[in-house]
Amino acid sequence: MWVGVRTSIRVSLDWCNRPVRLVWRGWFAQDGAAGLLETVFIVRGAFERPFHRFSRGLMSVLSRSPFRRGTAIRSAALLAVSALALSGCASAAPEATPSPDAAAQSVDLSNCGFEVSFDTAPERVITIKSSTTEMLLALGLGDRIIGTAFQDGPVPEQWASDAAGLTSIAERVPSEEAVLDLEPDLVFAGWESTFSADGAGERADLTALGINTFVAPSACQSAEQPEQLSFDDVFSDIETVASIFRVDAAPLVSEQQTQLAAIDANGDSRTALWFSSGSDTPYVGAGIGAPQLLLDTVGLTNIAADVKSTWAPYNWEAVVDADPDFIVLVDAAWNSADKKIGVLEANPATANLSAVKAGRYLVVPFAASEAGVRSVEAAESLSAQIAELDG
Amino acid sequence: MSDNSGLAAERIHVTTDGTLLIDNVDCTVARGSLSALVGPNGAGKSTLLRALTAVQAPASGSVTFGGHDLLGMPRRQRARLAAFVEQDATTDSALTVGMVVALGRLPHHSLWEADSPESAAIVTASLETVEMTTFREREFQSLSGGEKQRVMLARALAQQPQLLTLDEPTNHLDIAAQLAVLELLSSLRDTGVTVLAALHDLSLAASYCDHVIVLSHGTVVAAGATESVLTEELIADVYGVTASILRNPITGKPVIGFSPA
Amino acid sequence: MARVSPLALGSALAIALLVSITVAVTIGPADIRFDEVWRSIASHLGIGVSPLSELRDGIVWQLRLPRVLTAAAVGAGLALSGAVMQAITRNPLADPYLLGLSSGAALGAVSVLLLGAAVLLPLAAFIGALLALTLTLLLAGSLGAITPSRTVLAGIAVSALASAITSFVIFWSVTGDSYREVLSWLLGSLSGARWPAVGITMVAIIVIGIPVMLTGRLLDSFAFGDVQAASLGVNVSATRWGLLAASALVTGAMVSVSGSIGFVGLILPHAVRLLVGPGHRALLPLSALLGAVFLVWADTLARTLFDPREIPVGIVTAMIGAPIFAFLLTRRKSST
Repeated sequence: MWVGVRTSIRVSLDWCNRPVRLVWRGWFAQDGAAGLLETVFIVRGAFERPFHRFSRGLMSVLSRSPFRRGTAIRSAALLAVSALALSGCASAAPEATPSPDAAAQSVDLSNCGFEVSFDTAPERVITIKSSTTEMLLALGLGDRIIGTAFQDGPVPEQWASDAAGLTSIAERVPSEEAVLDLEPDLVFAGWESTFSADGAGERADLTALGINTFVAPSACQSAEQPEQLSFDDVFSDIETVASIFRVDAAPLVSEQQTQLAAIDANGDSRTALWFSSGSDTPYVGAGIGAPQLLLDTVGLTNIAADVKSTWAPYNWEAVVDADPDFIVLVDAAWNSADKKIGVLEANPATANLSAVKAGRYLVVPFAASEAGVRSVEAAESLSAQIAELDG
Repeated sequence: MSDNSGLAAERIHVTTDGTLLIDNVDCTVARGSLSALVGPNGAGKSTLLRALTAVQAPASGSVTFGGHDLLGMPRRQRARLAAFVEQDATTDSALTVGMVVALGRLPHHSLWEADSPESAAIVTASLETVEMTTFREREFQSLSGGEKQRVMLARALAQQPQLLTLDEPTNHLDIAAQLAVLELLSSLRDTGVTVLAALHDLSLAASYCDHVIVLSHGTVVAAGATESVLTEELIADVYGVTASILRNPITGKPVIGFSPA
Repeated sequence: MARVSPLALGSALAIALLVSITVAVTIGPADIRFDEVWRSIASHLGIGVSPLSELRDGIVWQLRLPRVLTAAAVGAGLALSGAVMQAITRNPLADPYLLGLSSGAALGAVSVLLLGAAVLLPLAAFIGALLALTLTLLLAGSLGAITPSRTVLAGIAVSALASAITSFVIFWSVTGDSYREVLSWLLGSLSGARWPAVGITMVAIIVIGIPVMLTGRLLDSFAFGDVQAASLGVNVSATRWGLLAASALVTGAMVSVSGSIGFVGLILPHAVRLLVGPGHRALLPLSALLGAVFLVWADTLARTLFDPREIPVGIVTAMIGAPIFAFLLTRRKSST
């Protein structure tokens, strides 16, 4: 049985004043054999495209078997060539032509406490989570997306055709290598936690490689979290992103504002539970995040409003005590609205809730439950569902 | 069917992991005698003692005491008949002396019975016999080696056995303590208890024990009255040293002196 | 520190348990008066009529009462198992989870919570625990004669394996906030305790736990090792295996209902030992009583400390218990 370990060695260095990353991927086997799978050059810089990718070769570098020694020489030569190629300075590629409509000055921001700087509009974007994918689609920037990851559900109809060509690089949080593989210039994440060493990569590391990182500002956790999320925050998110890409957010924002103004706040101060997940302990939308915002918009009172958190673990006793008029069910692929109804009905205490007995459920798809371009539509949908239940 | 016969073992065979420890041993211990089991290290004394009391049952063979089959007897009944004191009793537990001695009453109670006043009296009597009454509430682990040995003896006595076997009871004890233990065993013998003790000190064995069984490499080399069995030739043969048998001027009992072979 | 009389401690703990249950049921995020709570409970037992609305009555009868009763049973079972394990393995650091039970149960639970196995969660956890135990015993047996230390080592190995697989499953499949459910289970939580859980745990305590509590004398006989125990007429292997099996069944039942609540089985027997000494006839039942009282209060804190947010009770047991034990230890050291 062959037992071995795949490994990669990465080296970052400066080549002619440009940051260069070299990745060697190889393997070591238990019997002493080793091999080189590929050498990858990634030359980064503000003005250059990546070049040079050596295709795979399976060769032995060290081995006890004399038969393989010949190929060891070949691979040594390959490494030498790589080294030689590095030692000379190639002429710099021509500067990218600036976009006609964008000002030449850079956009500098603090994003969740991390300084980011965009000299030009990003052109190769990886989006993580549906909220960021959909924001770019809504701004007409779908052609800039080179890959998506950790999507929460199908893209809404109005953007479906733009989304058709998008490739998913990972079902969940992508690894740093998978991200680097596509050679993006921006990673735009809907959850701050995806920027970790065993996730998409630490923000500082990616920046050092010339890849910008951005988190949807409403989703900041470590710093600059909105104290009480409002639609001003949501719209300012859209405007910020638009400014990074040097496009105009005004049409989208004004369209959403009109939509927002037209929503009928038919909640009439009735109470609601925002049930996100959980069975023994419910995980609910609490007082300062998107769930609170949406409930406020339609005029419903959140029973967990006094919990100073975006989402929080709660307890069934408090829910039963409050006996909410409506229960909002977040519909996610991993935890559907139906499953939550099952949980409510199976628990003998919650089975007697008036909302459960009367079936007064409001459903929100998961992707729309986080702050983003679908928030207005989600509020609209809630209002419509209330109207329907009210008869 | 009970008679006045003592301990009789026939064709005891003990192996472990394929190694033969006790090879076809026959031995007898007269009722109401104080006998010693002697032999060099590794002769199998501990193994034989455990086999005789069925603490670690032998692979084959039979053991009877007073005509009763010791090996086939139900455990608790056997524990009421025979008590065994191991070498070097150690425990991590914080048991008091009284609790340790009370363990000896276990074979006499069913699991769920409360402690009876008779049992408590027997524990007290056992402690008195070994002269450890004042130590009753002391923690066992805090005692000296000699004191611990006396407590373990008291525990065995609390079982009210008719057969008492001990594995090297004089180990790690100073001379006074050694003599005290053997005096105790003698007085027990005088009350009718049959005592068999593995001893490493041949002089002690010669002084106190009426009979001796000599074990070497898992077989009985000689057995019988101490004076006739423990000869200078036998000791030289079994232990590989030169022995000289002398007389203790005070007790008149044999004393054995050793010199290298 | 003077030793307390076992009888006195036992009576005190029994009374404390009754009082604790009575009071704990009346404490919670919903504001329900003491008399209302007990009139509601009485009505379910056929005495009188409940003064509460059906919904609020449900809070008392469906949420609080089963949870408090389960906490008492689980606390008793874990403490009892811990004491038994410490005696059998002659290791003061033994706890009920020593033989891979909690890691196996965690793997079972995670396979339901994350991989969506279509089995009831408690059943999966119980099966996981027993599989891990079987693996431990097989591994210990393959090393030669099964001794306590070999069993402990095998248990450590199996626990590590099960934990590794569990961690992998979590890392691989956890999505959204399902990691919270898993974490809550791993830390130990009574939030899911309804009447079926009361049934499982009470049956375990009554059918297995109580007979185990009566074997105190046998456990005492092991104090000087197997040979001396055998010389006292104890059937060493039957006792050891019987108690091991009983402890494993009780622990498995508790873990399947509440996850792996730590600390109770490890430290509470020591606390009782410090108070009444090492005799197991007293230690076993008193550990169970103390365990019950302790967990009832720990769970009450877990569900009310950060009202309306609940925290897993395993966090509370660790945070409260460790300082108390340290305190008991220092008092004892200064007296000897």
